[in-house]
Amino acid sequence: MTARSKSPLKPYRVAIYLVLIVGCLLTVIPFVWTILASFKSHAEIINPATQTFFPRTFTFENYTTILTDPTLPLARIYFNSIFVASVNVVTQTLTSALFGYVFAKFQFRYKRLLFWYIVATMMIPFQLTMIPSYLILLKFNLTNNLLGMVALSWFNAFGIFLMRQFMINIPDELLDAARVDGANEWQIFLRIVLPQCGAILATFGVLVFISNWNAYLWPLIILRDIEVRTLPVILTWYNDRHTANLGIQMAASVLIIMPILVVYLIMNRWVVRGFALSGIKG
Amino acid sequence: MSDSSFTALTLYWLMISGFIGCSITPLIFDRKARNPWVGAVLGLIVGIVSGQVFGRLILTLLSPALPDLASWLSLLGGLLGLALLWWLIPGNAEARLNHRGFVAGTVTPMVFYLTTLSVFPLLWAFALAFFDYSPRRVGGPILGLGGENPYVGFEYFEMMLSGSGRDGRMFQNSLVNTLIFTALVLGLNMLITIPLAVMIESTSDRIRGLFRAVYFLPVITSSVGVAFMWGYIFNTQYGLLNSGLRSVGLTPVAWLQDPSANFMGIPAALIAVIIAYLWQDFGYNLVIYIASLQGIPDSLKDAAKVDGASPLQLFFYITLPMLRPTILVTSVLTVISSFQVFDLIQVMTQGGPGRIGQTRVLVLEIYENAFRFERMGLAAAIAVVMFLFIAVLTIIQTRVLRTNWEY
Repeated sequence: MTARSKSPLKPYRVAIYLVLIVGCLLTVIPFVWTILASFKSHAEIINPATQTFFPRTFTFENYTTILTDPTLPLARIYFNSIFVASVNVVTQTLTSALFGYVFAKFQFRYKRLLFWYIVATMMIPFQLTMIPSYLILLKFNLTNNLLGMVALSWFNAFGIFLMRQFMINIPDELLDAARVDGANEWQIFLRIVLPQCGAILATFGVLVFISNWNAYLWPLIILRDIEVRTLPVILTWYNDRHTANLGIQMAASVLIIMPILVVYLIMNRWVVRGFALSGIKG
Repeated sequence: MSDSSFTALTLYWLMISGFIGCSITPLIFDRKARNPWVGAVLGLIVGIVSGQVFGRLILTLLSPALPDLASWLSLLGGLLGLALLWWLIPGNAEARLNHRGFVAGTVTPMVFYLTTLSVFPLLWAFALAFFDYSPRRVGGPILGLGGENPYVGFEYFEMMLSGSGRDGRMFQNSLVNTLIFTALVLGLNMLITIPLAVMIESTSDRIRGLFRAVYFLPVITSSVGVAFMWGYIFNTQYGLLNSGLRSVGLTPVAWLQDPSANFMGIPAALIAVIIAYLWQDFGYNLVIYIASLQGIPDSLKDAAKVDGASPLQLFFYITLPMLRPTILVTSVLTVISSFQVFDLIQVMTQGGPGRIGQTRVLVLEIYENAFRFERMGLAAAIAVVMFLFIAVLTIIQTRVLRTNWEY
């Protein structure tokens, strides 16, 4: 580190910290407001005299209403979201590693052309292909089915890109040594290459998980029955039935935001690094 | 068996047998010292053909005896033809093994998958834009186009260009809204994130991580959740914002409902969704800028400091030019993503308020036409226009920001 002026008394440094703290407050207040509101009773929210930032009396009635609602199979919905996100994480991390490896470590004819074919097909905006994709799923009888959420997303261009950059650094000697020992190419990939990229695959996997957990438009189109829907779609459906009751709306929102928030708090360095990578490479 | 489930079955035969064919055949060819790429192509063709032939054979033979199991077993029909191919192909004693089976056996299935499930839908989308198509009508033999789903030529594109009729007006309104939304989001995002990133970068390592973690929170939050959070904040009677306005003696605004409320001609509802979108999205660019700022060599700044440059001069003459490649990337990404905004608006305002929809954006227009009104031809045409807009905007930005990269 070179010598930086670290005297905190300079007025412009104080101003910087002030701005940053105000920014943090603006970022956090909507969360706090939502969480606090989820503990307010309906009567307290609608009465102008009791509309305060903090709840006057803490109540769990909003949560108990949601958790005991017989029309809402909440455990099933959580399972759906976890299923869709996990399956996509597994397939996309594996295919990204595999094709990152193939495009980094093998020479074959039309390699560049094929690589750009892959990248180009995945840069097409989703809104353009979503109508034919829906019609294809209709033909496959996969609409209104969780499998439809994972059938069309086996590959991830960014993942292949990222993994290729990473795989280039794996020494060829290591692979050749394994070949001499008689391992076949699949064994080399599974036993030697894959274990080396655990950290980067985890970073990428977290990104895939978050984006699938939060996905809204595609599940909204293909999942019609309550039992097969994922959390964001259920949230709008549920809150549309409780438009008048903001406390319940906020409690339901908290229930879908919380799991990801926990993942983020545990793995925040990896999450942030992954997103930064996606911008630089993407 | 109903027609639709039979169609589904033939498609499964196609995909499964094709996939097995082009992934395993190269390995077998490799073992017999034959060109695995030839094996991939042969395996694909044999797999697809035998999948249809043997799949149908198994289905018709077994379905009287085992009605439930027959369709499952027929999925493996392609294996019969493929096994024949694998067994019959003679080994080549002269040539050496070349280990290319692995590459051919992985790349070919991927190309097969992408061609059938990405490129083909793309071409289909372009074709749809010229037909009055609804999935409920039977239509012609090829993809249901023609017949009851008639060819309409450039009708949709002419309508969008001229803005004639209700559809034309709706489209032009949503295009204008999307452009305003994108322009404001892009400008405000850059104004917030670049200075903020510079400030965060100037703090010590530990605090930097903390700030970055907090600012990043909204990015990972579900946009549907964000829509409800901000919907409550902007709520006319009970919202945080109007409580604040009331407490300082100002008149509350019906942010999301009042079509006449506006600020400098921009509807209040559009401003509300822009604020919510910015709040959710700014952390993403912020993180990219922080990463990029850490890559600027300290020696450059130190040299400028020795020459007596003020912090402001440092920012404008060193930092900003050095950030230029990053600004290009982030602005392209921001334009692309805000052009495709949907979740927030669909939940917060459903495109309203107002008769024609002051916050209706292109993707909402596409979604409603395709999946509510079942006018998929029109929706596809709008999607094509949106695609062209995104492509042109990306090219323009690249041209404007690309010059003079070397410093």
